[in-house]
Amino acid sequence: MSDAGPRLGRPPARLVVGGTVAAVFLVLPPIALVVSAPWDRWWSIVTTPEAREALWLSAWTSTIAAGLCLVLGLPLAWLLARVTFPGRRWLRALVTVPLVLPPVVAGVALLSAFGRHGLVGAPLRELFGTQIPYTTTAVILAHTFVAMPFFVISLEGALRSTSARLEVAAASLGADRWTTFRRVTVPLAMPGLVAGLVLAWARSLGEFGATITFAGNYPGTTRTMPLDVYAALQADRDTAVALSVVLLAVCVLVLVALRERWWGVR
Amino acid sequence: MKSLAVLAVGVVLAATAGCGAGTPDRGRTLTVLAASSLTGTFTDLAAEFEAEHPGVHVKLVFDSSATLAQMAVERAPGDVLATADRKTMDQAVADHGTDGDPTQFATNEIVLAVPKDNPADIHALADLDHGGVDYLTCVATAPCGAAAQALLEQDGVRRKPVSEEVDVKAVLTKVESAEADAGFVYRTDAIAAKDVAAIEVPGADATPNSYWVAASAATAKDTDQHELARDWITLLTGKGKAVLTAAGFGPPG
Amino acid sequence: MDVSGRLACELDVSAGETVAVIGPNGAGKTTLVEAIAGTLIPAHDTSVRVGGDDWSARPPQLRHAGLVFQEHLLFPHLDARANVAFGPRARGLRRRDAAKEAVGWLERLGVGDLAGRRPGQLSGGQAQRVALARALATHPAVLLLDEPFSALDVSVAGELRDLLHLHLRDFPGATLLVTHDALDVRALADRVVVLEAGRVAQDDTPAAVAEAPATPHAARLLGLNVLAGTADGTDVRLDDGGVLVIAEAAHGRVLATFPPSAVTLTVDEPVGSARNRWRATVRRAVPREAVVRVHLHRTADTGAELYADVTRGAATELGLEAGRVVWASVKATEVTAFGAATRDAR
Repeated sequence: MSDAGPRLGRPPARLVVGGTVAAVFLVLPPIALVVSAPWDRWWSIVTTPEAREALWLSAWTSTIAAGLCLVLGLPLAWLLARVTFPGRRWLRALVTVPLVLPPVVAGVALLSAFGRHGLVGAPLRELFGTQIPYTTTAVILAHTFVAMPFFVISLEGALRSTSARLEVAAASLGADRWTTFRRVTVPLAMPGLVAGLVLAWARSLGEFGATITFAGNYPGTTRTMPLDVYAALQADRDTAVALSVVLLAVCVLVLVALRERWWGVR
Repeated sequence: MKSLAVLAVGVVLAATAGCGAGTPDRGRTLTVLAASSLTGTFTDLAAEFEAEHPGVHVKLVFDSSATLAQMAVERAPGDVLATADRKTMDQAVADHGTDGDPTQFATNEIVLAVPKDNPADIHALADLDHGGVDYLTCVATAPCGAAAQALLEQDGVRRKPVSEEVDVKAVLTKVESAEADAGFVYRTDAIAAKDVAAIEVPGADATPNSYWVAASAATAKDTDQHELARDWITLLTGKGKAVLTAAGFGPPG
Repeated sequence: MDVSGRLACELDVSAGETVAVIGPNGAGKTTLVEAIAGTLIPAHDTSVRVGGDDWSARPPQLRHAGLVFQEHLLFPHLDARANVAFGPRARGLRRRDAAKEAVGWLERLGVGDLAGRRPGQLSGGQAQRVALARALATHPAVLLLDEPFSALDVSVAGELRDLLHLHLRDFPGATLLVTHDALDVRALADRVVVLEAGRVAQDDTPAAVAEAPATPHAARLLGLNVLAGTADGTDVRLDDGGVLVIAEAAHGRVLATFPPSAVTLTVDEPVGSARNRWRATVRRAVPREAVVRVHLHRTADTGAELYADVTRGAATELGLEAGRVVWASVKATEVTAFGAATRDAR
């Protein structure tokens, strides 16, 4: 059974051409990257302890960041979608700011807030002696900061499009707001939720500017894959390309594995 | 119609007349790729160069030496390449990014910069070994980083830096804002910065960074640009020495 | 119940009673339902009392109202059993017990075998049965039905109407049925409330409203002549006796309807194209603005009611008053007949 929809004739040429150009434009650089990789040395490059360390660091910090996006972003998206409160429009605009902020600027902003002399960081240091920059915590914070808007926007859209009347039905059946949220709202918004989470994870995996500015760059603690690639670029371009191929492979694998859920199509 | 043709021919003649040899340089740009530690000095020298060469605009591009060498190799717009170490320049030469032999024009020593009020009370390299001190270096692949690493090893400092920044400017910024307790930068950077104090590092004078300059390969095809590039190099090794020394650079060794 | 705001009305419904609420769009029918269900932000004067409890300040979750909507609004990600079990589970029942109760209700509504299906796999009628089961499973004090059959096929609606009638007979609570369908009123309602522009225009039995509708909308809606019988070709043998001729052939049980405006009244037996003619006795002639609604009995078959709308002039001319015997005729082409399951006459 074909899921191509009703037959409406041939697709217009200009759309096909435009789409093909776009596809080629997007697919060509990654393919060129793979082609130009030093395949004879590839395995030895990517299995060095430094490379493995960076990859592992990237993987688990991005996953935790995605988890934080879920835990914090879900309530926020729900509030923005379902509750009317004064200043809601402003809040929604502010939530998207990390999206448009250049990553390095985001890093500077994070320093101003959580750095050793930051608004929150300074008292934190004085009272508890804890410091956030140069730690892996800082990496996670930086990732979460830049990735959360992706998740919130995607989820808020999905929540808005779910029928609010279904929630009326649930309420009439005796479900309190939390039960309705758990059993009706979230399951129905799942495609948007998963898509948002994947976007957030992918964004966090590739995050560079905010991380290096706020968290620093040290192997094992804060040198994630993108930072490692940049460092390698300074010394040996081939190494950088080899490492980039690893990142590319990880991203493609995850995206392909989640493809069905991503589109939420049956 | 005929007058228009005459006008057009006249304009063309005037334009070509300006392209001959020995004519004043009008509306030309000299693009200089320079390591970030040369920011202050090169900006001053650019002003001097423009005064000497009316009509020429000097465009300065500052970045890490490795990135700049790469740019020269890839024929990115750039007429002069000035790096902060020998290794990067050698690499650029090997990859055919330069035209002609490189010239050494300055040296620079590593110092340890601390914020003005020295919150962690650093006075010598050994103080970096105290717990709770956050200090920075450049990445090991940058000349500044390599030099810092060698000095740390030499002095027997065991504690590692908390971060390896991409270039000297990044280290300096964090030390200036007291986001770090100390950082390895060049003497010239420490002098140029407002809120840092420089601590001498014993042994730094033994292995200073050498600064090299060369015309980029892109100028090989354009004699006029090549001449401008050579003029710049002459300035560096001639009258420019005073500016370099005032900023804290050492003489070419 | 006393609800005001955009709607100003006072309504009392007894336990076990079914009240049909009719009115044009915008009259306030949905507002009434929402006010009782608690999903409307109430105006200051709203007061809803059910049984001995005051519901006025309670949110919908704490009220005990069962809602059935026009579009079934079943949870698309849950199967039929989980949908019906949702209410009981939300009110504290354990998953297994709720599931058992759910299956029981589904069976009572004739869709027990569809328990594992998702709403997307159900037909309109099946889905609405599940929706009804879902509402009833919580044993609500008030059942609110908002045009429950209007999205369904006519014959499917008929089946569901009969089913609902069965269940409402045993339902202990109060039922409010918002509808645009005269058949709903006929089959299910003990009382009719006519809403017009946010106020109650009439509150009476269906027969009374049919005879003397207070609003044009009510007039159009009620007073519809509905006759049940068995069809054999174009002849329908009516349950109350006599034969009705219809235009399109049909077979088996049918419901035949025609509006009061399609009935012609004459003094002498008419000779003409109308295939259906009966002698009838006028029981009551109720004047409205331009029309007089005449309530007749088909004399040959007492108990068989007939409504006719005639102009005032005609009513005067024919001397239509209680007891007058006239001929009533209806063209076969004016009669709409559709298949129906067996139903008890009401």
